[in-house]
Amino acid sequence: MDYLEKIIVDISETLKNKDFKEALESSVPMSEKRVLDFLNAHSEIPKLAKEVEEIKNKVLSNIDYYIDRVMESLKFINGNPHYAETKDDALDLLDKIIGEKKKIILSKSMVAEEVGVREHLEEIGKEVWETDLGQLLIQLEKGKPMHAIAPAIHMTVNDVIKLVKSKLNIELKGDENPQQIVAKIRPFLREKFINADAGISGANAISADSGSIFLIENEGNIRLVTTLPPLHVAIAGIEKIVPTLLDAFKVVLVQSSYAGLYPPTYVSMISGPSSTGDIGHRRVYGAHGPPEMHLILLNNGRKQAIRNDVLRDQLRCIRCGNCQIFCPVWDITANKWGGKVYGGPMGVGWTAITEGIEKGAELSQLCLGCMRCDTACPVDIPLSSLIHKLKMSYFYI
Amino acid sequence: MGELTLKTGYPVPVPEDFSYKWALKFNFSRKGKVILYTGALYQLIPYIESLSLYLMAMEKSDEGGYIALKLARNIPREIINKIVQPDKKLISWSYNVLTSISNLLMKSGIDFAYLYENDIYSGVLLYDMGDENRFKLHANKVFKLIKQSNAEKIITVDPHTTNILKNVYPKYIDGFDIEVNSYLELIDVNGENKVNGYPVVIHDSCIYARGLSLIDPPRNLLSKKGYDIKEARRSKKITYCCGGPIESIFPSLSHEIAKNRVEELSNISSNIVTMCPICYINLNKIASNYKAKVYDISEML
Repeated sequence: MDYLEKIIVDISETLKNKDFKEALESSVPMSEKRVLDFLNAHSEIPKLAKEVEEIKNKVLSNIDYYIDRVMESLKFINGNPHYAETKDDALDLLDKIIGEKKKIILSKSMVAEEVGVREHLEEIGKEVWETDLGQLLIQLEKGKPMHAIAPAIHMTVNDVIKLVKSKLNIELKGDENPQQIVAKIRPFLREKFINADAGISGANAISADSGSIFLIENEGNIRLVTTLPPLHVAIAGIEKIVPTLLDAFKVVLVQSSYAGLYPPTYVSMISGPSSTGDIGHRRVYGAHGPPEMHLILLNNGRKQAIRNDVLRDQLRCIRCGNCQIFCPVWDITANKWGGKVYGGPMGVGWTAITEGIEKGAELSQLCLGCMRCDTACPVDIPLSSLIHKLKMSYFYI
Repeated sequence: MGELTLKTGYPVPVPEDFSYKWALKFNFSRKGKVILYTGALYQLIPYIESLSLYLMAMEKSDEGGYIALKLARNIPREIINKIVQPDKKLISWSYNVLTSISNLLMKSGIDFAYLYENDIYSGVLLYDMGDENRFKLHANKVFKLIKQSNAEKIITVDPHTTNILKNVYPKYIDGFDIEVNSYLELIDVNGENKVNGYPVVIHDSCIYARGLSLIDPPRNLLSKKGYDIKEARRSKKITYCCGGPIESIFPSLSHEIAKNRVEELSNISSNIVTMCPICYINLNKIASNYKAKVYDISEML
């Protein structure tokens, strides 16, 4: 069976799944409306998005320079920058950094999914827990995130109850509401937070001038993952770099707005390890947060994509997931269409970048060409024509 | 499909006179500065639909539906000829639409010629599917035929043909110098036979709304005619797809998308107005499940 065939067979199965359909129908149209209503009321955000588009283009035109700047800036504030050419390089680096540490907690990161961080750490015998609630459900389900921001968007409340009951042995009667379910999972994860030896996060933006990483969230798990354990490792694609700290803040504001999460409950800006100068007027590390902080910058096809006329625009993507919500195919398939890691219209482009043009070209066959995603993208990625160009390459591969 | 388009001008087997039979009752001039070019999309719908129904039946025929679908797509042409049995009602619907459009143009005082046997398919499906090389060859053939009629301006009747001629042909044809407009931008309706507040919901075509920014003309025309236009939340620039474009590759997914759309529209009004033959056929197939009726805008005007 070829790649496209497998996807079609998988989606055909999904079409028979009434819970999957119900979960999407009860959330997607509302999410779309919420973002549109918000943007209509906040004209400053689309203007900021235009700025982000230019900021991203500027970095893509000079990526090596900005990678070097991040490395220098992070070293200057006593962080540990690393560059990984491939997924395997990223995992090797991670192994060296983590060493003998046993208990690892993760905050949701699409790049960690891309690299296969959780699976790898589990394979080498670590105890690994996802701490974002949606992503924890994905871990328990042994599936893939079904949306860039809302990974468990395809699960009904009943699905969640069944999963949590059977996989975590948490006592649930079956009629709990989401509030009650969250209250039951909270103490379970709390114990993981406190006892973790290392926390791994992604990054929504990285500022080259300060070496800071920015993370946005609503749950509060990212704050705990990045501050409680004695070691924090962030892993991010090189396209997350922006020139300045102010630029990074613009990115996270635009991302959260187009993801329907404005204002984000928490924005973490992390510039190196925790430190204090309170005793003896000398700076020492690891006051309350981790004394050791690492950043792994991943290439995995991105630099090659910058040089590719078709794929370059995709690298502006801030992964807000709005194109997914807008896509009529995605509204039914969620991330079952779009690639192994990513999904929907942006997923086709990201799969072409990270897994090869051929896979992107096969995925492109299920695009309607309706151009709805183009209207959804905050940074003006010509998604439908990018996918159409992949369709053209499908014919001549 | 690509081979067939290059050989015959059409992506599915069709009778020789199928594209212009509707116009035989008119005595249109064959040459002129302004020509009506249908690109045969309305006329093709009954034939494509017949093939799609076959593919859908194949898909549902066993557990690994896609495998059957794949085999079905590679069947030899002589067998396709037997499979393609167009619905006569659908053929007459497409002829009626084109007749209505011609009448609307004439009533609006627009003088136009028609290509008859040279009114061949634009090649839009080849382009949409990504078969760029065959599309280019076909587009150049179409351009040559159009040029033979002395055309300076083309009137089109559907969004796909309009877009492909206006936005894509110039990229693939050296010296493409013809002005292209949809009939919806050109016609006017007078106050005759006004309907008084008949409620309708508009299903904008993705291509008209997003590709060509053609949003107001259908609304102005319908409202002049007296229709009470209801708008779906997902209309105009954010109109929702009918699912049609992936019908041949994944019929059941296409069907689900159409269901989503009809459900939304029929909650607003049971009279759904389309302006694209692909939208029409895809929504019409399931409209009766929602007690809704689908129309082509030309039938309403």
